Amino acid sequence: MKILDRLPLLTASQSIGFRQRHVSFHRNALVIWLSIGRRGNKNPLHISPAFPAMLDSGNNSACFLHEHHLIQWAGIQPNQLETIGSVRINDQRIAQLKADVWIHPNVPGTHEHDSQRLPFRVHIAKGLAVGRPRPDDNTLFPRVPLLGFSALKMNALDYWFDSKTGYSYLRTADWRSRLVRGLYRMF
Amino acid sequence: MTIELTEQQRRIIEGQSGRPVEVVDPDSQRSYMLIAREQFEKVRTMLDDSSSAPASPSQISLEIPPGIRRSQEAFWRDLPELLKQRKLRGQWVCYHGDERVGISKDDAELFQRCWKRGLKDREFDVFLIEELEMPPWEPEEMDESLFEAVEIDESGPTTKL
Repeated sequence: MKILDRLPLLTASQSIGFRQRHVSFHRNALVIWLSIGRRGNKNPLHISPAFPAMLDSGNNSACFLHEHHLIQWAGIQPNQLETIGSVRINDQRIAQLKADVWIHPNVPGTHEHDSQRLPFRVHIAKGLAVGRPRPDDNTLFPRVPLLGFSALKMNALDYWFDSKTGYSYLRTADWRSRLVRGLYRMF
Repeated sequence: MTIELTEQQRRIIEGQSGRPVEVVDPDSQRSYMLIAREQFEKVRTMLDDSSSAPASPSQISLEIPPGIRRSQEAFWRDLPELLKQRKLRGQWVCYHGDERVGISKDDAELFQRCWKRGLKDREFDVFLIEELEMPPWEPEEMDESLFEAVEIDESGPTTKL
């Protein structure tokens, strides 16, 4: 199944709007659209509204967002999700919450999400890492939600970046994966 | 996306000497304020929902509910045995406290099984059968990521990293 098809790097900084909100994304970012759902519930009608996020290979958590994103963007109250662990970042301990993430397919060739196609459920075994407000500092960290590559590995999703066009592709692994892997090993 | 002004609209805007101009959609009667790009850049950060949030205390607890914690301990205890069976690697296992509810290739199937039994989310947990360095309840180290470079524009030498 194709999830992201010809997803471009942003060619310029851009303000992306969703439900009366505006968020800046900078040049060369990979903007994707996510929703959050109750862990284990496969019904896409029961997930949060879609919100923009960034595909970030430098992030070693499967999914990392701020409490503000969870409440204001996804419309989920933290007490609806159970704490299943924690991570330490910059000497701050933050909770990992029991939830699934859903990736919305893009309109091919754009970073817009395709509302005509069903989102894809991504199970996050260790939970969503959710940043907390910091005393005396109202800046958000992370500024926008991040989806790390461990989420792709855990869900057998193949990612490919075409350097000639700057397009990214994401799809569920199938027979093509074995073929491409074989070609890479051979040449 | 860019909308080009007509000659008449351009003249009206010039006549306003930099003041905002109201534009109305005749169908929806929705109105918009048209301002110069330089003015928009000054207020952009105020409109940006990702720049800051009210400094309110966190509503998220760091404590793992006892039912989940007991399930995690049971999984950690059984993991070496589960890993010995190679065919189980990559599958999901569910625990309700000490009780192993089941093993499945589909994690959602295990959740359904627990919900049908009337279990609440805080009473069980589902785990991927894979090598783990530390118990699920131990805090893991995470790297700070998202280093964003904002390019310098002509209106001001501001670079944020």
